[in-house]
Amino acid sequence: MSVDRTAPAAPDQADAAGPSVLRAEHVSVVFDGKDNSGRKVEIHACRDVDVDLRRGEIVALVGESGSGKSTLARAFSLVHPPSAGQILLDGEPLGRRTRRRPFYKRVQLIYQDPFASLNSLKSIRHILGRVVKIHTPRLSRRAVEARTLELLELVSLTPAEDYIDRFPSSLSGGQRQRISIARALAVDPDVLLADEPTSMLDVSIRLDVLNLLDEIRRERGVAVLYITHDIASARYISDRMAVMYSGELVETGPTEDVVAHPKHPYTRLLVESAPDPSRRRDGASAEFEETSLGEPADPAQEIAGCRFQARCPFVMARCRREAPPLLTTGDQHARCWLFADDADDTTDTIRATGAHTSKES
Amino acid sequence: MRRLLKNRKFAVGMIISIVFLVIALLGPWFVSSVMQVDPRGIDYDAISAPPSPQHLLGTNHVGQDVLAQLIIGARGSVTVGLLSGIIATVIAVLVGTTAGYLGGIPDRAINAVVNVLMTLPGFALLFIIAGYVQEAGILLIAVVIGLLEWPGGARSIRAQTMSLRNRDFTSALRTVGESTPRIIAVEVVPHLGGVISSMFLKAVVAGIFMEASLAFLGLGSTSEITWGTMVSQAQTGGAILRGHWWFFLPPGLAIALIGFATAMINFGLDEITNPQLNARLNARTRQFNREQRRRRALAEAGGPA
Amino acid sequence: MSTTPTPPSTAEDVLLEIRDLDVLYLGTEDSSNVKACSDINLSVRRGEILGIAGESASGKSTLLNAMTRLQQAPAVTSRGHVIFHEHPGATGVDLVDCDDRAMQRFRWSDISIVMQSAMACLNPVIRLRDQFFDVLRAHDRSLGRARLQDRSTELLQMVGIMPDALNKYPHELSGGMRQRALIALSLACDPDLIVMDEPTTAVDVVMQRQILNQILRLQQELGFAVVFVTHDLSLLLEMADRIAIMYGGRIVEVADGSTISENPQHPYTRGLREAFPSLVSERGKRHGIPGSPPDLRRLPSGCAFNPRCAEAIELCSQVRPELTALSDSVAACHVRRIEADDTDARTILEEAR
Repeated sequence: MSVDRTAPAAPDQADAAGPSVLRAEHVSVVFDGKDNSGRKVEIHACRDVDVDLRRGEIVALVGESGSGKSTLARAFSLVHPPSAGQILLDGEPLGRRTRRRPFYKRVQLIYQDPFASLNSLKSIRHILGRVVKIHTPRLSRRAVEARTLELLELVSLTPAEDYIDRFPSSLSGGQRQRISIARALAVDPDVLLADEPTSMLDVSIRLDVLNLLDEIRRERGVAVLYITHDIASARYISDRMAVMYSGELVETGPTEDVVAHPKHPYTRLLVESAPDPSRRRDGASAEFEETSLGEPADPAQEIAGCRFQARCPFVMARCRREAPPLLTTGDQHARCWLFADDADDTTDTIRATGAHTSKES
Repeated sequence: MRRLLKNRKFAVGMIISIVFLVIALLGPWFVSSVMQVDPRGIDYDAISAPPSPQHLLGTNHVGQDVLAQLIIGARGSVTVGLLSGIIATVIAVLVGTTAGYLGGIPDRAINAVVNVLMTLPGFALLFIIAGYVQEAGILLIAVVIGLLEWPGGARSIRAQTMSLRNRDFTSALRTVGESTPRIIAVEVVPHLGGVISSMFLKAVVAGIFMEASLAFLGLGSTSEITWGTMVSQAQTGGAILRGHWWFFLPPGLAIALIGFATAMINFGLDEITNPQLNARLNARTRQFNREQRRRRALAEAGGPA
Repeated sequence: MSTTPTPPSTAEDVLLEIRDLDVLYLGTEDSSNVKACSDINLSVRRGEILGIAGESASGKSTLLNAMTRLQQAPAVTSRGHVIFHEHPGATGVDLVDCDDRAMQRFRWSDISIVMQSAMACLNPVIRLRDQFFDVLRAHDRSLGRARLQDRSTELLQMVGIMPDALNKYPHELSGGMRQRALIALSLACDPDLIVMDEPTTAVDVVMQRQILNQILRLQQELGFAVVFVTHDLSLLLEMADRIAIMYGGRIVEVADGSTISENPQHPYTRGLREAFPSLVSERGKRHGIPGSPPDLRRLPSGCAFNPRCAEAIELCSQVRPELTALSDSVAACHVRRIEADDTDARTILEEAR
């Protein structure tokens, strides 16, 4: 079964992961915000993040609230330009002067809340037809309608004629989310940025929305960024995974490796915390019980050394001194000193036991 | 629409408003062709005469027919009201949506202007302008009133636009490449229907009132007949002192009736857009629970027996 | 049914018993009333964790509000009983009937409630200390200030919060802290039952795990029973002793956690069970349940699930299945019943007539 996951996206493409389409290079995003007592602070929502989206590939961006995952999506979509670093489309850096319309013909967003992302006063015909019209202005009215029907069929809202004149209020959450996917597909984009596209939907219909995204990337070779807090759904749909914590990328790698053998202690915490009915547990997992009770590091706060140190069960003196870079370990990269080449023997043992524990779980 | 007409308040307000509109449109024709009375013509046989079969609403102190004047006056008053309402609403929508949608510096600039205008004593300003431009026609008065009426509405439209701007659907429209003017005009403005209609109705009534007040103070148009000039004439002619109610009561009532009608439309719209179901449902819930308790108590008492 | 008075006999270990409960949402006219819960029969045993899972419009929150008497207009309990047995074996009190003062007495001291939004339960303008003191004092007026302070500190420590949080206002705490503080507060008077409505939905995965672990640990230490209502069946599979699955305002299956996990009977439960991707089992294509949850105002005839059910037979759209005991589960499904029993579709159809 898992073999079929990594099959080529399209028959004409030998390599599953095609060329890079959209890419973030050293992207940092800083907001002005206020802390609890009303003082002005700088919120570093993203710190020096690199993510590469390739043709026909789904990358999952996993993290908790406040990890900066949605901010990164906004940087990718030029809604909130990066404060440092750059976004590249086909290797060309984007800037302030980038024209929006051609950019959005290539890159599209799918929003979290299907109730808020569609104009409730407009019919499906208007919502989808208008997008078609914006990007192919010379189309006749009949051609726009034909294209709209085609889009509805593409997201399995069939018979399409029954849906085209309805209003969002008469559709269920899952159907609305299909409309927003159809809207994104209306421009025939090369990149889809999906920000928690299923978290507002009923459990029983989430999988089919994910399957739809999977189908789209297979059939059209679209690059997909799937942003989620749900690591199990990320495993289900993605090829590569990037884990964010407190604005930083803490681990990247092939999805299966990251989930089965998480390297960074935070990823391990995330994997262990996720509910998974197929691994019934008796009692709590010992490794994180006491240490991880803390809260995620505040993105506005500067920390000397590793940002995860306060919650990390493997914390070493070095972690409090120096911030770790992304270190390579096998196919994965982890922002953790445990994987430094010059690590001493004790860390080696921890690394070994750590990897061991996670295999068992 | 059917739901709108089902609402009694809305229907009543609408009917009164339509009657006035019809009078404003067809009044002059009706007066000259059907009644065959010249509203300015003087009947020397009936000066300050009370209502009679000849003059259904009597005559004023120079012997002009009050009913004819009332009908003719409708056109002037309704024109002033509608025109000032339209001007005020158009400006408020343009300014409010632009400020609310663009935010930032344009918003701050517009907001500053709105705040200044809102602190200006509007009527006093109108008073000065009307006094300065002697012989101000009703059109000029309507334009001035319109220009003074918009800031309040603009402010509430701005607030609503700001919240719509932050909704995902406008963000989604930006990211499919829709242009800002179209987002505002086609996607955002329909959501402002409630605010816009209520501000328009308020502006219409305010226009009629202001015109009447100006006329009453002797600063209205002297060449045209409006309800305001009628009341003003009644005052100068000493009708109030002498108790000649038929001079001033009809135009006064007409003004009040328009105010009533617009208020009814507003209430009706309000009820339809935010249904006050809760009170009714709460009452039904209380009643249901009372009956339920009685039923259960009966069952309890009857049970062991 | 509503005319039957409370029958006295119940099994020893039953704490709360819901019998034939119907809940209506009143409309402006009788014809626009909506039945959000129908024929609910469910009991909570002492010291067990009972999970109630369902999607939107399944009636799970309506049921929770009805059984704790937290329901607000226009919801009304139109039929049935919620019997609370304060002492083992004793005749219970019907919470549907009892007056508000008696209900006040039960709240906190016997039944406490943890809601999804802690902010909605905690008073935002009162320091935590005073909220803890209020609850403790309501239970025992004789407590002195020192005792109150000690007990509040102890409660917060049980959920891993530093006692200095007592000086804070709820908004000064993070979401996870607030939720834990609320759990601590719910423990204040040693209740027999804690009813939890999506207590971890608003917090992150890691915090959710910690809260669940704490609930499990405290439940083992203190022995209270938990009713845990959630849309997330995967949480219940890990922690609940028994699970009730709701769909379209009815319970469609009740069974032990392990049965629901390994051998669910109702096609809806099976679909739901399949709808959660796993972190460990083989990766491969899975499918959700086609269609969407039904609208309570327009429930399909027969079994409410039949339009979405792959196994549905003709009978399913004609006769509504009753909950029937199967080998190790209780489920409302004609297909399962025909498989298990030797009754056939015709008998069921005739019985219904």
